[in-house]
Amino acid sequence: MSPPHQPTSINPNSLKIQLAYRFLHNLNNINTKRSNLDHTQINRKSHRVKVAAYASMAFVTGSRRAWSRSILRKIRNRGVLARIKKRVDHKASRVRVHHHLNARSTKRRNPSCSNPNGDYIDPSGNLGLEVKLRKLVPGAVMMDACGLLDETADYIKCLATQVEVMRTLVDLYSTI
Amino acid sequence: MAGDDEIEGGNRDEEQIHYNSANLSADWPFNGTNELTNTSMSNPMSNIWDHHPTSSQNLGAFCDVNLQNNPTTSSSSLGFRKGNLLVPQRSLDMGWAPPDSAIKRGGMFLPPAASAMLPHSLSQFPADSGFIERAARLSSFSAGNFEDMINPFGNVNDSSLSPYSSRSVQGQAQEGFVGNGFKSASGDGSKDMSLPVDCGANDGSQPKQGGSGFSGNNGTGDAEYSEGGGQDGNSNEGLGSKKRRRSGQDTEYNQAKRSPQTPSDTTKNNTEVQQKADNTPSSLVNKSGGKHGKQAQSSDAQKEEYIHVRARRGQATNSHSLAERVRREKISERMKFLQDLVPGCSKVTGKAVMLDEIINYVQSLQRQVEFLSMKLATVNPRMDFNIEGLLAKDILESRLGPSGPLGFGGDMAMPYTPNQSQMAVMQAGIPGVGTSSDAVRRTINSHLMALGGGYKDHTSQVPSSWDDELHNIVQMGLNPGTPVSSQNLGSTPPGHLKAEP
Repeated sequence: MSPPHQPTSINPNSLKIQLAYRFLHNLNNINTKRSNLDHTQINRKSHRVKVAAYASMAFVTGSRRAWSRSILRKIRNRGVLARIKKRVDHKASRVRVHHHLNARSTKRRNPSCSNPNGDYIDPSGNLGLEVKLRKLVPGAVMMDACGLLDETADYIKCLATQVEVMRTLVDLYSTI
Repeated sequence: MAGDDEIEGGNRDEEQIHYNSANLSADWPFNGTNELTNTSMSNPMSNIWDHHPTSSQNLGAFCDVNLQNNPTTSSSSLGFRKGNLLVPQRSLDMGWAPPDSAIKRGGMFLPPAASAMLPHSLSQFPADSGFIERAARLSSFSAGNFEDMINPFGNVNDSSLSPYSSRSVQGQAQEGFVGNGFKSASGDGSKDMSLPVDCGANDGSQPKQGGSGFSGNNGTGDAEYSEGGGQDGNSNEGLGSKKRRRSGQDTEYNQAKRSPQTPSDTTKNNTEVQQKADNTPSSLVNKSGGKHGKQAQSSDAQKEEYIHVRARRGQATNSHSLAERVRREKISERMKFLQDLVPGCSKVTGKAVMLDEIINYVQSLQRQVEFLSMKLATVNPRMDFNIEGLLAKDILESRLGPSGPLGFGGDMAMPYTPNQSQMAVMQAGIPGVGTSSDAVRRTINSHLMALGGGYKDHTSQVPSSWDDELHNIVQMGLNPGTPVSSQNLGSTPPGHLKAEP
């Protein structure tokens, strides 16, 4: 789709299309995998939709970007973890999995990475802004400033496209 | 000297014609004022040709090359012409001796031409006496100096014809002459002054050839110096250490203020000297610029000698700081790109504010995703959602095959997938909310087969925008009765449905 090293080479149209298809795919998967979705809490479903959205974003971007890699890793870990926990304890695992899922979007799955968002001043004098950004963008915690900005740009692009796709879908479904 | 006059006078007219014909072919924007100089210049050039057949050929070629190379800027071409006018005057005396040496050196065609041009320019400028003085002074220099002095002319040639090391020096020498000429002429007016100034400009534009790397820089530096103080400053900053490498020939042209130096002598002196010469004319043209240029140049020259990354004026040249600067520039470049990405950030300056905006934007986007996902979950609690996803997934698997969505060309499967998804929506409506996904899928597939090729018409109408496609899906869902032409839906074997992860 685009060379991995150029941040500006992603064609938004093709990205949108790929995202849309992948998103639908993921939604469908989620809906089919967990058949209790439709009639259970909206929160859970919305969370799954959100996960599907991020998953589709990461899948479309593939392994080119660190943020997509980290998201994919999280999802796989989550899936594995969920399966393991299900085997151990059906109900308890579900609760834990949901908790983890809820916390997925802004934090790393690894609990050891929980950094308090203190406004300490970085050596660069950024007042922790950079750290905030690192937390927001998945997979960019251990990256130099240059790469961080690259990842952020790509992440923003993909996020914006995903938002657009979702908005279109919502409009579409709301008009039916 | 007498011979010089003879040559100049005799051939003036003839060579004027020669030169004009030869040189006018180049795109020199001749002004009214310039034509005069041009003709005068042409004469000397043709003079040289007559007297030095071998060199004349080269000179002619060079002239053409030079002229052709210089049409980029009128000023540069002007300068070239004017410079040739003035410079030859001085080099005229020496020109005849040095041309031999120049020719020996193999590259100095211009000096003879310059010398030939001197008489013309002398005749045209009231300050000929001053030029002659300088010529005499220059002639008093050693023979080696002559060669070096001639170099500037040959330098211009060299840059275009052959990679002679003295290129840069020649250019600067030319400028030096010009400066001197201007000093003496002073009253000739801006035109004259600009002539030699532009001479350097020409030189600057020319020497881009391999040879010595610094020669090109020097040439540009020269050109910039000559053009004006402000420009000088800029050029100085840009040239940096390479200017130092200029041969000592530059100093020679700074008129009798200092003893001539051999090309291999201290480049610093040359640059400084040249700057002085440049500054003089430039001061006439643009006083402040010349000073800046000189200061900038000297400071730049002092800053870096061997580092190829240019340290800007006033910046440390430590290797660490240079690397730091490169890194900072990379970061600022990325920040600019992000500025374009984040809406409403074009006016924001400063890294911290920009970062803040970026963080806010990312947070808002993530919140939007969350909100929209919630909306999607509420708006579409039914299996229509799933069916569409199912169909899309099937299409993905069938169309994209092993390459996966990543290899998705986008356009190929596009016409099909929307139609198929449309049909999926249609199918969803027909069987109603499916009980099990497999059952739904089977139903869908059967319906798809029944409908046949389906929406070839739709395929041909690939919507321009994604929204259109989605709307098509909706419409198809609302109009299940639409006739469907046969399509490749049959290519979606039911077996693919089982390939779900």
